[in-house]
Amino acid sequence: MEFFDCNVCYGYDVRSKIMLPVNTVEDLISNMKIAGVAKAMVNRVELYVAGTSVSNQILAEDIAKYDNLYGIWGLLPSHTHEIPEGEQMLKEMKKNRIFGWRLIPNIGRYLVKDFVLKDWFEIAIERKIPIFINTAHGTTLEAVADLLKSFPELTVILTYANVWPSDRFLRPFVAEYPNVYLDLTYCITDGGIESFVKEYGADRLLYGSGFPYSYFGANMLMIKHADISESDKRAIASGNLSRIIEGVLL
Amino acid sequence: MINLKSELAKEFWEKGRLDDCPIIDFHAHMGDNGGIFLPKKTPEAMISTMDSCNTLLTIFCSHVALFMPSIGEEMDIAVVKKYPNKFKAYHAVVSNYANPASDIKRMEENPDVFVGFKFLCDYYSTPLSDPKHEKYWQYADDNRLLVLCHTWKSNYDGYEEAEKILRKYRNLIFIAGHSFHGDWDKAIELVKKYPNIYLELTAVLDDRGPLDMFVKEIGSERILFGTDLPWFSTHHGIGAVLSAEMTDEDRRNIFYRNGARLLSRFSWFKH
Repeated sequence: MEFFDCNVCYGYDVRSKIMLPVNTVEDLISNMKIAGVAKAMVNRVELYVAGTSVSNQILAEDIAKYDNLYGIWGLLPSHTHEIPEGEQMLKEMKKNRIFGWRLIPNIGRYLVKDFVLKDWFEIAIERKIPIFINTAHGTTLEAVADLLKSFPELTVILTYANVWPSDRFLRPFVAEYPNVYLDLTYCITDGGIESFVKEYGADRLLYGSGFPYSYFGANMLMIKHADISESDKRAIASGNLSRIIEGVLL
Repeated sequence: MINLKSELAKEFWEKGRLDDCPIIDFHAHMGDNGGIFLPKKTPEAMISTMDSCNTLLTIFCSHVALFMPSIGEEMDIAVVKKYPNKFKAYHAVVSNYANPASDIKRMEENPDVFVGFKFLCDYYSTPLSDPKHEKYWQYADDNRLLVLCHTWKSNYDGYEEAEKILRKYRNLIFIAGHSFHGDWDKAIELVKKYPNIYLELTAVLDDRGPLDMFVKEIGSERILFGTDLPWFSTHHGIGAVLSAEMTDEDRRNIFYRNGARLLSRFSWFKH
């Protein structure tokens, strides 16, 4: 069973919030090998504390050497012209193997509102670029709900940063919007995968670890021994994310 | 595969459970909880999880016992009597409705049901050392019982409150549920200082690092496995322990040996 992790970062966290730092892309690759993680969507930790442009740029340089790493770039409002825009952005993404955008409104100091990010979301829908949203980075579930009301076709990979069982919050998003996927990083409820799959199928769940803040292996074992079919396990472990990435039009 | 450096991890990866490495779960609940949806909240559903991981015994205190003290304990007693080889219980100490005379009488009438008490002081906004708890602590100490305390970085059940108890009571076993979450250094300090405190891993294992640090600083013999079942997946917890930096012998201590050593004080524990 191949694992394709949708939630990984690495780099220098000056806030010292990582107890066991993974500073370089080489360290990350080494940890992935030990855990048996085949592929990962990644961004630099510095995206959360330093400049977006520089973090995006360094990430591109890092992953150029590793074809099992797929980049996520931080997104900023285009009004300040700090990151490539329009066709230039798509060209840069293709060149650097970047397959998603991450919202970072708390660090980037912007609002997740239609009038702020509309141009990005329109491109995302047209080019099937997934938007990575982690509620820990300043986008509330209420904001996600407003966003999806305006852009219901948007592909959203949603990380709800709370280990409390949260199906009452999360299931309605999946039920209402066809392109919302749940990152399992914090979804660790006993029987949670089985119960979700019975209701909504396996196509909307993605293996995620939250590495290096969490272990790769905890959710791997949970998926591997979930009481669901082998094909459903493979979909969650890697198939669904691979399908999303293959669908991105750059 | 989880961890190429661990033979135990390879075996768990293939089988999901190991006959020669059973699990003892020291921190569980059961039944309804108002704030959350729990797919496997019944005793039977919990047993199905336990069987899939080879969890030998789960020690629990139901949500009902913690939040509806008028009826909860009788439900917990009934569950343990129905499944005596699968479950034992902690008697809830509901601080704001504390009734030590009645609670201790119930304990004495059910020696094969209860291993000790469960304190949830953060939820009741009452410190561990509050005088209304004194008779419970004394009874636990006199009888060498296990006391599971929710512990967090908190004024109610943080390390300062725990130390007040540990200074006074040396015979009971203080199980620090969640290991003083966020105050990892203080958890280590208390283990080094007091021989009757054990760190329990529920809600610790979703963070990468604290367990690695515990084992490095205090070894593996004072650490107990727990899941908050039916909250968190047992396989998730096992996967985290298998991923952390330690030896397979350390892992066996945490999964089973430390718990078996503590439970050997009870005549019903035969394993």
